[in-house]
Amino acid sequence: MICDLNVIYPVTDFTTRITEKDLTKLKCGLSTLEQLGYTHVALNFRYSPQLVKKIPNNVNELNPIDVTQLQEFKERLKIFTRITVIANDTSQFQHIAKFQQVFDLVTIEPTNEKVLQTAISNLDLDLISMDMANRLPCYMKHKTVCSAVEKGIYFEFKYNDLINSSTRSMTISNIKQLIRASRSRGMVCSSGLDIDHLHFVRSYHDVVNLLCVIGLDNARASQLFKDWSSKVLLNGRLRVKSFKQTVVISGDDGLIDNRLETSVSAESKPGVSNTKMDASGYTHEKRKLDLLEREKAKLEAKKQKL
Amino acid sequence: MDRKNAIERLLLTRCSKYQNDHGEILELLESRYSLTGSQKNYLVLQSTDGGLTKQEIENKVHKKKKKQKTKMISIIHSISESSAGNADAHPHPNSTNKYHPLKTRNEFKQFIKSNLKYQDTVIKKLKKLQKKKTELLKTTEDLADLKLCSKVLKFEDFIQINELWNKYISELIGTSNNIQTITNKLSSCEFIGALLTVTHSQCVDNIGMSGIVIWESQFNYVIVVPRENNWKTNIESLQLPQSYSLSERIGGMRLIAKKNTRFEFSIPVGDSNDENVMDFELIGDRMTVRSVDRANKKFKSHAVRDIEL
Repeated sequence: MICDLNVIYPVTDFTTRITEKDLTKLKCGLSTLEQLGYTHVALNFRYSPQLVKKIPNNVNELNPIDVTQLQEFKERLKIFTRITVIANDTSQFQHIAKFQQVFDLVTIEPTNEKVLQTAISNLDLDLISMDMANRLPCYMKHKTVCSAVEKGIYFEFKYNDLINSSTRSMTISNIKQLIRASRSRGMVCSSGLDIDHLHFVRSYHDVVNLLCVIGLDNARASQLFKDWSSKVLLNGRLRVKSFKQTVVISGDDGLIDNRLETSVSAESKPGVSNTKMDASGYTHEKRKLDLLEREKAKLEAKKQKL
Repeated sequence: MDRKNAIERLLLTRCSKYQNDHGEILELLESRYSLTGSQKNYLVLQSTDGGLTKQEIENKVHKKKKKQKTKMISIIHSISESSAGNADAHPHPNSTNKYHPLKTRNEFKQFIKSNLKYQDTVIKKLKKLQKKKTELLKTTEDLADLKLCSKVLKFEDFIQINELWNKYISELIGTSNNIQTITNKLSSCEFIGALLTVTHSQCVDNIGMSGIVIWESQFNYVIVVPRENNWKTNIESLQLPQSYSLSERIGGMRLIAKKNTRFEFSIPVGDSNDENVMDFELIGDRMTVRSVDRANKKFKSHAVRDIEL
């Protein structure tokens, strides 16, 4: 499995819906990603509290990403939803618990050091996204970065900043700093694909080569797309599907699958307060070859013989 | 008037013995709280060992131990044995010895250990038999019919526990439809009696094993496995003639570590007609708690690097 955890969904507000034009572009982007071999894709909704003041109270309306419009990718790609909160103040963290119920992944993009540190120590996040195109908000300390990785919060950088020639030099130095601080552990690389810059998308092999130049070894660089990305997805999905990672609801294939969930939201039941938490989609008929039934039948056959 | 001991005097006047004799009451009360009187103001504690000396008690325990070793191994038998023993032969059930042979938990532990050992010896004996009489093992359909395997636990005996557990779990969950509330309840429920199937494990032999839980310890589940059953039986399209190893053919008890293991179980949903089920998976690494402590434990999310996909 090769993951791309950052495909930007062209919506800036909770209430606005995606336009037809943007949707076709997004579909183009997704199909190129599929052609390049990606299997798991997360659609990213970027939310900056300074621009968008109003948050809907109803939990169901909180997720602007409509996966049902992308039904044609159902068998080809596993699509997840993600929110990135661009935070410059710790007071903006109050809605994060709400977001955790509706999105598969919850991410923070800190713009100063204080936010970064409180996010690592207090919040239950999946990813911390760093804006590599500009100067980093602070010097990346080994201690803070490693404490995050130890907790299971990974760091993300986008490779489209590397490809864009205007931001390349800044990005290289920033990524080198992150690699140094994290001791090349616990990072995730994603495309950061924008619908206006679809030509920036690359195969993951190319990006791995590029990262080898910067200073990651080959095995680690490919882990950015495979192992560590899937661990991030697992962390996010377990928050939805399980109670504190003890008992997980299953019935679909694997711990990170969300196939059964999307089928529920398509029906959009009126009585359910939160479609992501609805368990009714997971019910299925009893298997034909049930162990207990078989054993009982054996017992009866034996009794009849006697 | 003397206000001292007013309540006691009142009570004593109600007694038929002192009904008309106020002088005696006064006398009694005067001597009540004095050191010199007949009634003392302190408690006298006497030893309550029932008239037996320490040596005698120890001797009895020793004899009991010897007896225990020779007893037949069977749960029902041993439990009834211990309860009977508690009643008459042994007057001190709350003996300070933690490893007292009569303590039920220790006895159960011992039973599990000895039965696992017993299963190993049975398999060894069967292997010897296989060399001597190759036809015998091939022709017998059910190895439990052999006299040799008569003491191995049988899956059929535990089906009723599973039915009880199913009732318990459907009562526990009720009609709630939220994943978080259901999984929250399941994380603190009892698992003895559940039908667990190992889906992922570091130990490859354990994968696909399914049975009814009879005991949960901090690091292990003890399950009872049916005879002639492994993961291959669940595959319909498998055309090969199914072959079972000797240990699979006798079934019995299995000790499965929780570490690096995921278990699956399904619970009935909906009203009365149990056609529909919902599947749940148990992550063993996060459940390494004794079932007693698990009821009140506050679980926390951790880094997921130890959970395999």
